[in-house]
Amino acid sequence: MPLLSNLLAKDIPQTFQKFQLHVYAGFFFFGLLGFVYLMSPIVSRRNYLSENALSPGLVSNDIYISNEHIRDIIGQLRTGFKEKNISDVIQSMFVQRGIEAYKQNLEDDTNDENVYGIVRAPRLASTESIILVAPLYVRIQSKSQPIKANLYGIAHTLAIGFALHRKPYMAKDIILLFPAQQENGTRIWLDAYFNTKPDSIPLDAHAGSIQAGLTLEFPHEKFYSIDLRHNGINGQLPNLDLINTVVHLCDKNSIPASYYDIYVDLSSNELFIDYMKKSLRTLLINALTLATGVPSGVHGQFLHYRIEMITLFGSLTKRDQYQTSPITLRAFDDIIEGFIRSLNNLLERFHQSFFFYFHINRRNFVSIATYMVPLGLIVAPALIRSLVLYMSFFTSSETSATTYITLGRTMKFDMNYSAMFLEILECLALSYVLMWIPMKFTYLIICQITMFISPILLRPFRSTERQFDYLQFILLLTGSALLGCLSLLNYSMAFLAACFLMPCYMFAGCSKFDHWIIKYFCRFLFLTCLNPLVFLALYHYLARLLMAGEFLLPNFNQLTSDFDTYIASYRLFNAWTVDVVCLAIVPIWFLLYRSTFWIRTLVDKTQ
Amino acid sequence: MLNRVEARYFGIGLILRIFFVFFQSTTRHYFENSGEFVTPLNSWKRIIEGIYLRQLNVSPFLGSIVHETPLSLLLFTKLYIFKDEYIEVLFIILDLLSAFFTYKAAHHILTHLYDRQTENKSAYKEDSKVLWLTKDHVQKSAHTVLLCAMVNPLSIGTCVAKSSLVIHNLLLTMTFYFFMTYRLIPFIFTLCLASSISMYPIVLIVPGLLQFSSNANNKRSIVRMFLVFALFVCTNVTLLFVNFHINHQSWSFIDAIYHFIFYVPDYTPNTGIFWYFFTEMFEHFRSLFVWTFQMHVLLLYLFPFTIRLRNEPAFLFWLLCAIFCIFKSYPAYGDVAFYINYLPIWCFLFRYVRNGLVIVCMILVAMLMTPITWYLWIYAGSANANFYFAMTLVFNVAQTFLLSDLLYAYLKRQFFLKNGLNIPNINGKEGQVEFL
Repeated sequence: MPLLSNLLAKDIPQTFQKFQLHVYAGFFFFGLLGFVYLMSPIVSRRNYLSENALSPGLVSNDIYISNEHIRDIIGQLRTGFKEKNISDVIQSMFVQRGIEAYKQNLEDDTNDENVYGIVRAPRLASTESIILVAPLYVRIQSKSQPIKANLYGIAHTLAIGFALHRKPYMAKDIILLFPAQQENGTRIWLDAYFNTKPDSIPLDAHAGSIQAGLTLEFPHEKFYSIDLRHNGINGQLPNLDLINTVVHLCDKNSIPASYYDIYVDLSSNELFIDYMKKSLRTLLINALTLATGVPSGVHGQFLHYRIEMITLFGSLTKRDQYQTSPITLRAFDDIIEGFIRSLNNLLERFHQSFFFYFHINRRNFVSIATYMVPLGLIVAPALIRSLVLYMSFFTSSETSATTYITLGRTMKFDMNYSAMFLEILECLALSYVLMWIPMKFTYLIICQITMFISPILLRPFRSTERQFDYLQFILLLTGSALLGCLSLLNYSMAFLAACFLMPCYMFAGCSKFDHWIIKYFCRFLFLTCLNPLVFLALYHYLARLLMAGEFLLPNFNQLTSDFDTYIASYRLFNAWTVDVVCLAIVPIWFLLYRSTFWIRTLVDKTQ
Repeated sequence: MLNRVEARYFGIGLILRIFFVFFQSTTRHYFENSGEFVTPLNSWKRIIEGIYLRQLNVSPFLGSIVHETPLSLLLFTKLYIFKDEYIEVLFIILDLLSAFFTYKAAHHILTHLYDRQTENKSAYKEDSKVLWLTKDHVQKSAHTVLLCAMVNPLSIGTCVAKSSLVIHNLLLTMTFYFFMTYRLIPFIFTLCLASSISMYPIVLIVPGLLQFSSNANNKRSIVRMFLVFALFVCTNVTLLFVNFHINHQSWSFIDAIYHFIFYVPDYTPNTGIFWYFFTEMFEHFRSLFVWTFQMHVLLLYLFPFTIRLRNEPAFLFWLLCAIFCIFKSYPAYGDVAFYINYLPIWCFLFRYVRNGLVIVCMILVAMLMTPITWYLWIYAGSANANFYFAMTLVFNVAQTFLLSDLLYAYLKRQFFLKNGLNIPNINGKEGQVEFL
């Protein structure tokens, strides 16, 4: 490296300075369009089984379970539910057939109990196991009755367990778990099973290390299609191979499988435009629901322990106008049997296929390599702008023709950092309050108002133009680093955060145009469109629209009640969405808002 | 005592540490368990195990759990009679003390640089005046060093994690302080203590020899050099025997500490480069690469740097510290914190640093991404070891960039001070001087 090389930067070309805003806006909109474009058949990939060991279950079936048998089990379960001793009924059914079964008390005032049985594998010692979960009650989308007994799911789980008992080919144990209180019971069971909480009482029996499993939620005695639910905690997803196995089995048995109740008919009967619409809807709902960090079923708890699992839900929706009869017992049992026998053959944990993907329909997905591009496009303006700002801080070869080029890189101005860091600290502290107050909509609105008038109450950071640029530079760097990190953990959340933060950056940057109208307009935008609560409301409305698939009016009461349910449940799931929003996204937004209060001082003008 | 600025900075550091130690139990928990802050050499959990084994009269070095010296184990046993909260207070006090010594050392370094400049002013070209240090700069930079030591998240994390690196760093900082203030006996003593804990500081005897061998006329004498070295060796041997006696007349600690450091048998992921390399390698190449890697840390840079920077003892000392902190076999963030805290001293070199933005961004990204890739690898199972290693590699590359940039900047500044800022024209072209 030569010792006397020139370290001076070149000035940024004037033409770029002029078109900066256009470039940034262009990147942003291309990013958004790119995300929508992910649904196109050109970008998405058709799924396949990456792990060959999973194929045997797809071939032939061995077990036959008669209708009478199922009816008999359902009858016993029904009396159990009626007399509120369902756990005893299930346990005695196991014991009658010589299968070990245990109960676990949830240790709260409800006296609910989890039941689980272990069908031991005859071929090997209990080194590995498969788990089938059927929650005693499941949530259904009906106003009158929020939860319903999972009769059909429990009955089939039991029947399969009984049928596979002492089958010579079983090499893995099968755990049949029937948790009470859905997620809560599951979590208590898992904590006890893996002994993660020091105070939980250890379980009576263990099986081998749990490889993977299936959750069955079938509250209705008849169903016309199966809805696959795969959202885990904090945007975690099960291995794609597991889902593909189930989808292959469903296709083999001609059972329509859907995501988010959206069924895409992949035959040539469907119009291309319908295919596109449905794929886009699936993609968007995927992004919107994963961003919350809350799982869509009890399987989310298992994913947390690296047990790959999805939930099958028996849906009442008919997928086809010609579909008159419900799914037969035979077909349904074939799926579970095929699934178990595929897993039984598995030699290693799921590791081959994708963990980061977006489904656009049951046969097509977008992998991480593709979907990172739109986010990259959206975040690119932040990086470019920070570079532009950085270069503007230093004397360039053109402006300093008279000085020595050997002077190295020098800042054009002296910087007072302490005021800036005090400001950052202040904003962080104010946002940290959000972690302490109860998360109610009214409190949040009060908090927002405090934040908005904080520049008037507290002494605002009257930054000069230089400090404003420097603060922007720091914020742009931290913001893009934050989004980059989030994109690996929970892509959907990173995407939504980017959609919110990038316009904030842009309008905060726009306040640099020295005109009072622009400044007030920017502040007004921060009050209205770029407000986190407004964004939340928009998000909620969009999610409702997409879920319903038809036009709905915005409903404020629905928003507050949904928000309350979410806040009540997210702690249970170990989700950290709210923490990230409160400690990272809100402070950045708040700093950007407060940075619009900068002033042009005399010193700046003389320069 | 402390003036206002110092008191304020100390206050900030104290509040931050107390906040994280006593009010943020989840964060504390994270620091205590993260592989970036805690390595087998300095984990508090292992020390407790060692204390317990010691009290049971079982040799703590029989298993592969404890890697502390018998002397420090004895010290910890004496301290452990305090309750848990007091131990944490003790760690905070030690960390603040080491920050204080860092500040004092920085002040001495800067004054030394300033004095040298006044001495040599006649030799400098007049037009290089912009590069000269000012009295104001000395005080300001020293304060920045103090602030940096107080708010550096890496220092705070090490203190919160109760890593024994806090004590190691304190010893090393004291060494640096005594080095700058020409106190031979304390220098040798702290240096030997520090190197008995982590072995690598022995390289610092080389700048020590340069510094302490010069007499009043600034002439170095071989005899003095030899005497200092003999003193160093004697102290080390004495320390070894003290350890030997504390350890009930057994040499088992040599295997548990120095063999453990040198041959790297533990592959727990950390921020260094050793663990990944040795997991990937065939066993029969191991000795070759262990020696290569260790020579790289201990010897490869030692002599060239010493020869080139023989008249810049402070910079040489800092550079050698930074090198072994980066490349040692079980590095933690606490090691990085040690030399990063001194970085503001060299702020007069920043104008010649080429890749400032790149280095800052790389370090930022690596520090944010390391816990994330760890989570994806160990908990979520959706990533693998390569992701984590990629991040530690980025971190290490950024640090080497930083060092090489600073070294070039230092030499460049020296060149300009002596030759002026004007580049002469040779044959009608601007003169170019290759690095010599």
